[in-house]
This record gives sequence, C-alpha cells and structure tokens, in this order.
Amino acid sequence: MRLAALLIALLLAAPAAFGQGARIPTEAVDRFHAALRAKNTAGALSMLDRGLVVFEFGVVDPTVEAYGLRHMPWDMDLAGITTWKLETRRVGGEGNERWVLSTYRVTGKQTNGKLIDQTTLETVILRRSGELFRIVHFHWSTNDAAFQAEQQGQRTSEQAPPESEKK
Amino acid sequence: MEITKKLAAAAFAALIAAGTAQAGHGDAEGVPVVRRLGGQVTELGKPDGKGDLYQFKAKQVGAGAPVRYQPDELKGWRLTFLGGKRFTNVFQVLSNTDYEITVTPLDGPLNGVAVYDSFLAEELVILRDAE
Repeated sequence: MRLAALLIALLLAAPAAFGQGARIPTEAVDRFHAALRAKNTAGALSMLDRGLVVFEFGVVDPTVEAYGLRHMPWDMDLAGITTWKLETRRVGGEGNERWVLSTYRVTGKQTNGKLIDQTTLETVILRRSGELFRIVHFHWSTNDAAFQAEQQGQRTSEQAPPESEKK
Repeated sequence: MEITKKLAAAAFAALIAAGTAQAGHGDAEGVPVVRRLGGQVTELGKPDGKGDLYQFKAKQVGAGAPVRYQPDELKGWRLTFLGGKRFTNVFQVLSNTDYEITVTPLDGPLNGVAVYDSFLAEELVILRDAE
C-alpha cells in the first residue's frame, strides 16, 4: 500500500515538477528550449516569469502574453525543424538574479524551405522566486545578417498587440 | 499487487514523458508546422448547475488573425492560457462557433478565467498522464 501511495504521489508530482520553473538556471533555459521543440506550450510557458520581456530580432514583446501570441508559435515551429547545438555557455549573477549566455549552432530548414546554418546568440536573465528560477528576459540575435533582416521585417510588420497589453 | 504494478507502469510512463519533454536539443527530424490561432476572452459563458464554467466568448488576436473563427474549426484542438489565473493551464476544445468556445470537461472547468485573458489554440492532441 505504501508503494502504491508513493507511486500515486509521483504521478501527481511529475507534471507539477515540470510546470514550476527549475532549481538551476541553466535547467530552466534548457527545459524551455526542449518544451519548444516538443511543442509543449504549457511546458515552455512554465519556465517563464509573468514579468517576461523578450527582445528578438529587433522587436520587443513586452509581456509573456505578447510573446505567447506573436512569436512563441514561430519559435516552436522553428525549434521543431532545426537542430540547436549548444556551443558555448557562461553563467553568472548571484542570489535571486542570474544570467545565462549561450551560443547555439542552428541548422536545418525554415518553414518556408530556406536553409539555416547560423549561430544564434542568446542572453537569458532569470529570477528566483521561492526555490525555483524562471526566465524574465530573453534576447536573441544571429550572425546571419540576411536572416536577421528577414525576421526583423516579418516581426515589425505584424499587427498591434491585443487590448490587454495596452492597459 | 496488480494495482501496484499498473501504478508503477503509469508512474514510469509519466516520468519518461516528463524526461522526454525536458531533453535538450538534439538531432531534429522535420516536423510539420502546426496550425495555431490566438485569442482573447471577451465574455464568460454561463456556469453549469455546479457553478463550473466550460464556455466563453472570444475574439481572435495575434499575427494574421482574421475577425472570427470558423465554426468547429478548433474542435479537438489544444487550448493553453497565456495569462491570468489559469496561466499555463491546458484544455481541449469541444466545439466552437465564430465567437464562442466550449471546452471538454476532461481537463476540469475554466473557473478563474477572466475577460482579456489570452490563449493559444493549437491543432495538437493533449497527452494526459493517465492515458
């Protein structure tokens, strides 16, 4: 009976553990990317702080809702069809504020069929609440000027944010 | 003993699923692009006899959003809230009209959802631990 109770507790705890951030900053970053790749929207969101601000290819997503509506879908699609190889990583900060700087070699094809072979640069700032870190800021850019320009053009031409963001 | 074995198998499956979701980037196979539609709650539906909410009115928001949904376009889709009290909570769409969305009771009621809450509807199947 004790084993059964333990297993039930494990079953209940497994999704909760995934959904609450991470104890180690780099884990939060890696879990976010893994969730994107698995098209696990809730899993990706669960690594994000409610105060998230994203700078991505020259465009600002000022809230987690804005990122979730406008650019996370695109990021999930790209993550699913490309390979991201971690090349370098530095971590720092102290206490409840940490940073993780990573570079990835990204290869594959865009959803429009164009080949990708570039280095993506990622700055992540994390904040600890309780025992768990969540991501409060992303900044992505690339060494591929053409890709950067294409993405920046697409993103700046998108529609205005929803009403809730204007409050 | 039989129940214990089944629970063990279920727990193992849940842990494997969680582990898979947490794995880092590896060799990617081509994955089809998923249809997604963003939305924002404009009005809550009427609660059922128990006071639980399974329906709300919404408008499309997000990149390239048309004015209204196609009837039952979202049927079976996964719906994830991007903000509000139900942030990261996931539901399955039972049906929709051009402006009203009803979710299945499989993931519980929508209680706590509020006007202006944003969500993302995706043409994806929900993987439930118990399955």
